[in-house]
Amino acid sequence: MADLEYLGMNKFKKFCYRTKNSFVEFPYKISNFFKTIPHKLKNSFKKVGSSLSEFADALIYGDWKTRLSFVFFGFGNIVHKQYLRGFLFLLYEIVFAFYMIGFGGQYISKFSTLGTVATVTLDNGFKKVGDNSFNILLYGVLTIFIIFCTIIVWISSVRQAYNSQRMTEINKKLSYGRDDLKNLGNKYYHTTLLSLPFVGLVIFTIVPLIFMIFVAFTNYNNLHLPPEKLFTWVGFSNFSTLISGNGLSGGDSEKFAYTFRIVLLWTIVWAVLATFSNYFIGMVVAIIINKKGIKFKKFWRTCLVTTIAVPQFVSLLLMSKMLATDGIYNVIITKLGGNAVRWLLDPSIAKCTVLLVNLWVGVPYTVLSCTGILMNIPDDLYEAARIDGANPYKMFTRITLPYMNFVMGPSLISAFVGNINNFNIIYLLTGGGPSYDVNMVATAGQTDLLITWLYKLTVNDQSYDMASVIGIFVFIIVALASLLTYSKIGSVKNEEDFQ
Amino acid sequence: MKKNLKGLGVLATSILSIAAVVSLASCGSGKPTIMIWGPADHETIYLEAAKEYATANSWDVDFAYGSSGDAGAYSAMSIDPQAGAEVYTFANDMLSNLNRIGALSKVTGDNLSWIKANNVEASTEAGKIGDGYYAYPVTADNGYYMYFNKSAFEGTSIWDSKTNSLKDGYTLRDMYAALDEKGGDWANSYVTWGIGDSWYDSGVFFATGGDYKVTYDEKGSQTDAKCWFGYQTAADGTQDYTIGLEAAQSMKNTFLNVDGSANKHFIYSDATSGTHLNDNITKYLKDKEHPLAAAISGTWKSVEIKSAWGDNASATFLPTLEGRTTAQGGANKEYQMKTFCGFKMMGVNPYSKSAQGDSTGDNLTKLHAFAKYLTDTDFQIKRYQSTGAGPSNLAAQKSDAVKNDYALIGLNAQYAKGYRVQDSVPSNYWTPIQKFGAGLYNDMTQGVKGTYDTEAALKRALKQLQYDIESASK
Amino acid sequence: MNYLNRKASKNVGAKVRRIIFNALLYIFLIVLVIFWVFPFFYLIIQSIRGDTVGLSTTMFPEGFNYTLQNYVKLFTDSNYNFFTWYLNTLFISVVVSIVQTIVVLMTAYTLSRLRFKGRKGLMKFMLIIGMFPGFLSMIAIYKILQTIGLSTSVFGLILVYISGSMMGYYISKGFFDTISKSLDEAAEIDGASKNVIFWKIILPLSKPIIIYTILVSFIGPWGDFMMANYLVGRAEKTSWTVAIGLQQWLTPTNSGLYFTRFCAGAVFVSVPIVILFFFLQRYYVEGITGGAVKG
Repeated sequence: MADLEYLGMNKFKKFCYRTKNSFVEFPYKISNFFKTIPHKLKNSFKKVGSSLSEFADALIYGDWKTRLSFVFFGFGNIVHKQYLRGFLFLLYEIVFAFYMIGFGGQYISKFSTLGTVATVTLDNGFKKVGDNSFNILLYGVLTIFIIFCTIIVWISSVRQAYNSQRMTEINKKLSYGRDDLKNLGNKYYHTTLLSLPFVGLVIFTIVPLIFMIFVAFTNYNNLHLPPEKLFTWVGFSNFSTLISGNGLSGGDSEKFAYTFRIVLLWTIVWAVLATFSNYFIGMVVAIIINKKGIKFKKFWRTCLVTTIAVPQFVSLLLMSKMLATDGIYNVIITKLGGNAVRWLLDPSIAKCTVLLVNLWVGVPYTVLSCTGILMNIPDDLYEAARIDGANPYKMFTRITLPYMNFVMGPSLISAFVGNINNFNIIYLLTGGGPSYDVNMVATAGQTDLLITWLYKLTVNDQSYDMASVIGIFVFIIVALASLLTYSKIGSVKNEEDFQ
Repeated sequence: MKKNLKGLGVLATSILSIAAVVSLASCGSGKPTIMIWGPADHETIYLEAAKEYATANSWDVDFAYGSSGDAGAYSAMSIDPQAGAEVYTFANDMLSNLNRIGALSKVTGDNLSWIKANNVEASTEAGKIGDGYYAYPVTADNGYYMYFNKSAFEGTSIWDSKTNSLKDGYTLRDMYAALDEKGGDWANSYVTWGIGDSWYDSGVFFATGGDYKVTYDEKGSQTDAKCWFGYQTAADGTQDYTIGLEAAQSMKNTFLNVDGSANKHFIYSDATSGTHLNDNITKYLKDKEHPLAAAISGTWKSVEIKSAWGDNASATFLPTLEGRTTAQGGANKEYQMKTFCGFKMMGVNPYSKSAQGDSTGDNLTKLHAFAKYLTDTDFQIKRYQSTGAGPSNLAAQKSDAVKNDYALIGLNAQYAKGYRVQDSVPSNYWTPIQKFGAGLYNDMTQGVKGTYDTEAALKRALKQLQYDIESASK
Repeated sequence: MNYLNRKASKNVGAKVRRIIFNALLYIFLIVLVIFWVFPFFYLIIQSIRGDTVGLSTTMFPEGFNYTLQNYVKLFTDSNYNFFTWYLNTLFISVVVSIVQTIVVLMTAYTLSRLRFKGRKGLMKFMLIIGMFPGFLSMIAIYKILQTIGLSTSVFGLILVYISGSMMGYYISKGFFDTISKSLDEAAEIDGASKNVIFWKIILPLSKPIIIYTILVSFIGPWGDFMMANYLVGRAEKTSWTVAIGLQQWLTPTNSGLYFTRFCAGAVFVSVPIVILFFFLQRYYVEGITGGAVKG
């Protein structure tokens, strides 16, 4: 469609056109994304390949000093007088050896079976603990991680030895301990700043995460709870339970699949409704407060901001008690002559209730951000429009709205993604909600999001295997949502040119 | 260069100091610690009793108390039995779950004969799995019965002046008629019971002859669940829906008049968030327009009700239920509503640090002795005096301190009339029943057709109910 | 003459319309504010009522029975020692806010200013890690803490809170990106190392974002129930945080006896945070509008 034609359409037609385009382009975007994956894979393999080829070079062309550093980490460094680095490498090797022999080795050996020796109850009541599948999996993952790091260190040690060898051949200067320490403050400053936090991240976020991803392929649930029982690998069976209802649990699997579909649908519907209702209502309120004729602007804003200031945990728990069927809101309603509303107990009403409470908690954020932006829109744009004879509605749709959309776009996306995982609101208000649907699994209710269902499966039911599968799905959904919407930003950016 | 070294030095010292603090925090006093889990407000009495026991028996240990007893026992224990308490209280319906994760040490020998001889039979049986007993009974006060305000029913047609209580065989409809008879302040009073709560609904199903049976394998996993709340299958394969239809009609008759309209005296109570403690009692105890006249509830409400009604507070057995009339296809039968009752038990955790610390089983024996002490007469009396928890110990029940408790009198009256120990229910028990009861009330009062009104509709609902309860055998 | 009259009357009409419109807006705002603030009003009233201790059906106590007993009980009841929980949570918040702010600023600076191999990869990696739900790995984290020996202690909780600090760099990085790079370059020409640039140049310019980060990290632990309950909830009551304790009071067994005390505790916890928030509101707004929106 020609540009002129596009400009000539009115707002509604433009909107239709753009929406149609997004849907039409959608398959192309997905296919493009998938097309780039092999490309990216090829690149990463190339990188790995290059370091491996260096490694091979070192093996082939290295002198005896380099070759010895294959066995003794840091040997090459020490021989070339890089004492600090060499010593550190050697220390690492010794610590690693001790670790594997004393701790890691026993878990890796049992990794493929996740334990075979069950716990035995002796006659005197004592429980002789056998293999603990949980420990095997967790420490196994940790050990795999450490082995992986060791391989990197090994390659690095060999490469450094080889480099030093080549550099001495051409008489170039090497960097020694003193230089390294100095560079920690400058060239390698990123190492200094990031290493400790990164270690914390690895231990408490990454290793547990990898562990839980592995759990999705086991049957670690309340029937196989260590130390009493062992659990083992079950491949993709949990996935098929969730998607098609054909897993190991028989009739329960169908329920899981059904529940998954319902909860997934509600999660997406909720995220869309919650994000957009917050955005629009917040924007409207911000505009109203910001309007020229309104006084006490700070007062209005401060009142709204109370919900941000009070810890969400407190305000949501309070709300859940106030919205109970015999809570204060219903008391007021009945006193005024109406009927008590089952705010949290009726499935459809409960869904509206959580959306309303979400507004209560979330609109102030939007109001704050929008106010900041509104104050930045230059007034002369409005002046010019008024001179041109535009009415307030036109000014809103032609100036305010596009400006807002553009600036708030990115945070809308993160709000959308955040709402997919908005645990507090649902869990503290309804606990997942009324569950009158007989076909759903007992752990799930009708206002449950994937994330709250996951939590309940973990804490109430100890179904860690299904929880992990759901967690993986949450990740996939969030990743897809982020990808799609981030690419949409590009098209929004183009709009600016049209202004 | 100097600055960088200084920076590194600062970093190193901070790491070392954090490590020092961390290692200090995990250092203990050297003596083994026995952890007790119980309800939050029992902490002081448990710790006192524990210390007395330790000195009297020269047991060189420290004690700690965590609040993960009772309701939170299973979820806390299942996170990690090896970090769980040495002894802990739990509700008896968690018995099979706890056994499945291995957190219960079998009660054998002298201990076993002791618990059988010294406690209410129902409470001991509540700890049975297969042929073995796995817990020490603690309380026997978790059942329900009828609370009522004496001044609302005194002198009415259902009043028995000899026992100073309600007449034997009274029904809820009789109660409504009596309230109308009484008039005055009680003309618009409310009576409530948890028809939307599966715990109370179960009492109706048990009354009409329904029951459930769960079978377990020797490891304690549920292998099969059978339930006949809806219908029974005869030898020739026909399905007899008497039990279910009678139960459904009994439920309807607790809130509907004979003409099918909703009785103005009934107010609905249900379960929210899966508990049975959110009822309309608190609300209407203080209501002037619709004062509460009677309610089916348990001992946890006794203090509140006593403080609202004073000397007029009274408790008695549950009402009689009315089955289908001949016109409705029944035989005008009546049934005594039963109470579903639970017990608090105390378990010994064989995975706990202390138990695992001694492979000869000696520590385990000591823990069993400790659990026996904590469930013995003296401590049960102390527990009642401090927290109002009704004892399971027979001697304690007969003691002066306990025998005048009006709520326990009511509960014991009901025990004499009929009870069903709430042992491990099928894994999908509560939700289907709650849906049935709540749905029945909802739809009948709102005139919804096709779900619970006709016999055919009821049969459908009952069949679904029974199927759901039986379905989740893993 | 006619023309002037017509214009005047048109102006008067417009003015009247505007006043009515504004009045409607005011009414709208007042209603809005009432709905917004009502729950907190309810909270405060419930916390000072003397006629009942449980969840009640009336808004105001009977017979004007107001009391401060609930607040007193917060500190005197040995069964539920609120003050200990408060101190615990305060300790956690202070430590977490200090450590977290330092880590976040260091990470944000590194990713904003320093160029090193794997910078983009690291950012993408953290983005992906952040897409996994946090509760998933609670049991693994518990086990790891147990190996160190901190599984049921307050220190373990602190460790868990600060371990993921690195991932919250986004807003701070957005802020740092807006600081002109020419400052860095000038300093480098003068021979300053990156270390010196960070401490002596960038940080002094970042007061708003520092305060924002401290504020957000401080408020965090007060409201975190899930992780706190999982780790510390099974230990003795003296290690609890305020969130666990408050939630205990609302369980169905307890809400008949402790609801008003919950309200008192909630008010006690919220008031300092609200005051803190209002004083630092300016920085908060700058934070979310400046750092976040720039995307």
